[in-house]
Amino acid sequence: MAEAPKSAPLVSLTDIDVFYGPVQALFGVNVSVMPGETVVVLGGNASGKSTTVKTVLGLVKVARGDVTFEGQRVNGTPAYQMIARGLGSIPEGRRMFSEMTVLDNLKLGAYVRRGEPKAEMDAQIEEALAMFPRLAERRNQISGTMSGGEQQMLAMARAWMRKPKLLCIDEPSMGLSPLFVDQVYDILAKWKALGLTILMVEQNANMALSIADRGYVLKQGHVSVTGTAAELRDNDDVRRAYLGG
Amino acid sequence: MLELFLSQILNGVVIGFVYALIALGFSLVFGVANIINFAQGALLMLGAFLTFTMVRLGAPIAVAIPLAIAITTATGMLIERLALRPLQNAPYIAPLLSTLAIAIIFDAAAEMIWTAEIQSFPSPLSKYVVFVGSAYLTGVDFLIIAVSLSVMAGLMLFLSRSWMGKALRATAQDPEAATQMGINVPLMRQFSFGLAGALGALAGVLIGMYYMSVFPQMGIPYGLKGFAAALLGGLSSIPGAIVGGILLGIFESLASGYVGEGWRDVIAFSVLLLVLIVRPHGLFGNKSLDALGGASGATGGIPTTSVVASMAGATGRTKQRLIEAPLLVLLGVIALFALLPALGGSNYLLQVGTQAAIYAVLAVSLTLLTGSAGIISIGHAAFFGVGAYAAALAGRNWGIPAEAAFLLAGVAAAVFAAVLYWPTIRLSGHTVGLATLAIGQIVYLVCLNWVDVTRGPMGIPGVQRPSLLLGGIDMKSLAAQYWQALVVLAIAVTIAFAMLNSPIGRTWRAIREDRLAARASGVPVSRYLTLVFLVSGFLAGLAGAQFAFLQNFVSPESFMIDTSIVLISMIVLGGLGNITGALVGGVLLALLPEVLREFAQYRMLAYGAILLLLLRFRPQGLAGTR
Repeated sequence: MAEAPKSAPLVSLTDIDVFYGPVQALFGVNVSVMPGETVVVLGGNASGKSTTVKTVLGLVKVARGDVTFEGQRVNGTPAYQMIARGLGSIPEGRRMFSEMTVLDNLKLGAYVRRGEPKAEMDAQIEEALAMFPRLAERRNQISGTMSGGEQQMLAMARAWMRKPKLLCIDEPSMGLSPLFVDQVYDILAKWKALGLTILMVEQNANMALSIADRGYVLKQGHVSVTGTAAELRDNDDVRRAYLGG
Repeated sequence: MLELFLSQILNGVVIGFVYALIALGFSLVFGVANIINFAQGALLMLGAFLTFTMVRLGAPIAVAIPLAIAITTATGMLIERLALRPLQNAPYIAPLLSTLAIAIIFDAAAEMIWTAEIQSFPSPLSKYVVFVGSAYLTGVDFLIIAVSLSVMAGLMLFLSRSWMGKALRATAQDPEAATQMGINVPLMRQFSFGLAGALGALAGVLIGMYYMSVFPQMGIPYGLKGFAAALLGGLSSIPGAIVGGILLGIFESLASGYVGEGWRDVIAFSVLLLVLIVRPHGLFGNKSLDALGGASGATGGIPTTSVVASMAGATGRTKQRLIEAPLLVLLGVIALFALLPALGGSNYLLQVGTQAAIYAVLAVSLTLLTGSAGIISIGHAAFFGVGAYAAALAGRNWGIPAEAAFLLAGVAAAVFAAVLYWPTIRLSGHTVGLATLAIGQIVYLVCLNWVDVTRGPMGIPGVQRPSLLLGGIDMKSLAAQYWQALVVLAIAVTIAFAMLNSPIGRTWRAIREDRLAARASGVPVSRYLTLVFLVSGFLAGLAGAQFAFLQNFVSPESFMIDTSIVLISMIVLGGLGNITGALVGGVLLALLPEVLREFAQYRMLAYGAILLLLLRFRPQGLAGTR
């Protein structure tokens, strides 16, 4: 990114509390993402990191605090409207439309852009397929019959079809072989270089910090540490807990 | 001979196309909203009657039909909005019973508006006839085939090509992912109900033209047939629905040709039952039905077979207060009621009291099965009916004394329940509701049509009352019948209480909550479910016998689906799996039509409305779900 980050965050969470029934998952969480930034949320199991991304996406109800997107308060906006406002999502576990073909999955990725000319859409499908050669060979394959790694590629290509202002990613490396993890991060690095703003949740802290600008570490629903990727890598606690010493 | 065969096949194919249309509506809602829409038949009836009314008011039929379809579509969407969307996080049983309640309300309202009579339906194309050998096809037949095929082709294009169609399919496959693509999932669910309404209304109109008549109770049988067709074809596939519809049409057409018109529906519902049991994935092996195992089966949550857990799966039940009286208190209250004749209760009061006691026994029996073991039974009137007929036939045909007939009725219903329900043990969630509904309809139709044994609609008069309980006292008086009913109730309560508070009850609840986990913990699930069928059937059979003795008469009417629905309303009102609740709900709803005597014709409407409101605002019932 040549230009300096603008002063206003693209998305921000302020003092967020979230509950699942009687159980509180987030306690006064503050997270923000500047335009063009890649931000990672780290944390162990049940630390609230996925809930943080779900809060941004509008998939969970906020009990207290404010969610803003492009400067506007968006508390309580349903997820499908958040997508329409410019969010894109690569959900945890990939979530294919498993009885549909690769092409249909890609088209559904561009669902909120369905008013746009067909030629443009087709061109973008080709662009997405060019980015993921494995998918190009399988464009008419039923997505549910593909391997986990291929499905992750499809989930990424599908989110790319949205042309999102902010891409939310939940555990992109989960359950993938190291080879596919490298591929996923190659693509993410490429997207980052193109200026895409990314908010991701990841268990694999090493990989995530390799491309992130900044990060947050969540612990039992609280933000415990925050800083630039370099600061987090140098933080003893973080190193001990998430980076293997 | 061959001519008859061919002409029956031809008839079957034609009506089969109509079944396919209904089936598609079912499949759409099932796929997109993941529930079986029991109101599909009601929408069909509505579409037919709206057309009928508009034509009668002078509208040309070509205007009336599209208008009726449009109104029914809107009604379908309204049903989703009012009766289903608020239940997103309600117990799993709620959306199922909610659509059932809607169906009942529509039926009852239609009977009030258009009377219960059969009305003749305009069918201008019937007069054109083409002979095919000795068989013939009318203009209506051609219309049905042409309209069905073009609607199906249109639907297929819509689902595969349009954005809306793709969004519908995406919602069906993974609603959470669909949301994250920006698809308005609640709107898609509503839209699927609208489409089902349109298909239902169209089918209703075609059925009206085909038979040249319509009647308010047509909803449930045609709804069931549509589901049978959908299931036969494997759900969620358009060619499957067509094949399923045509096969079903041919089956029942042959049945009506060779066995008798009255058996047409028995065959159709038997096919439904058979497919559910033998090949629930349909002929083409779609696995979508697995999703109906219970809450969140298809939405990514942890699947459970619980009928009382919330649709949201893991979050479980809402906090509630459970009211459960000790056995001695329950028996004490029953004993207090026994004083009624001594306090000079009139014959009318005793009659009502006996009825209430009978319903209370039935509610206890149903709450064991549905509340505790989680087998949603929409055909409980079948057990009741088997008991009543067994008691009546025992005396009349086989010369068995009424005292022994009592026990025989219980045993007969228990064996019936265990044998007939046993194959449904594999089913759970909504599908078991469908199977039990089919069983209930079959039993009713058999009572109605097996004239040699049951005397059909004429019923069996002159049922002798037993005189077993107290030697010397005339047990045939109304007061004695009242006492006898209370004794049966006391026995039922004691048995149910003992079982529910023993390890058996706990095991039933475990099976209800998570059948797989129960099995994995070494629980012999089918043995425990067989036991609950036996006990529930036995108690319902006793109630049936008591009913026959009280009336001195049995006829099929008493065992129609209405009775099953009333029973479900009772246990939902009281609180599932809770004996105190079953007693309270049973007595309250049995008394309701007596208290509101002048509104008696609205009673089914009231039961439907009570059920609907309860599910929405107090799904745990008055006394709490156990």
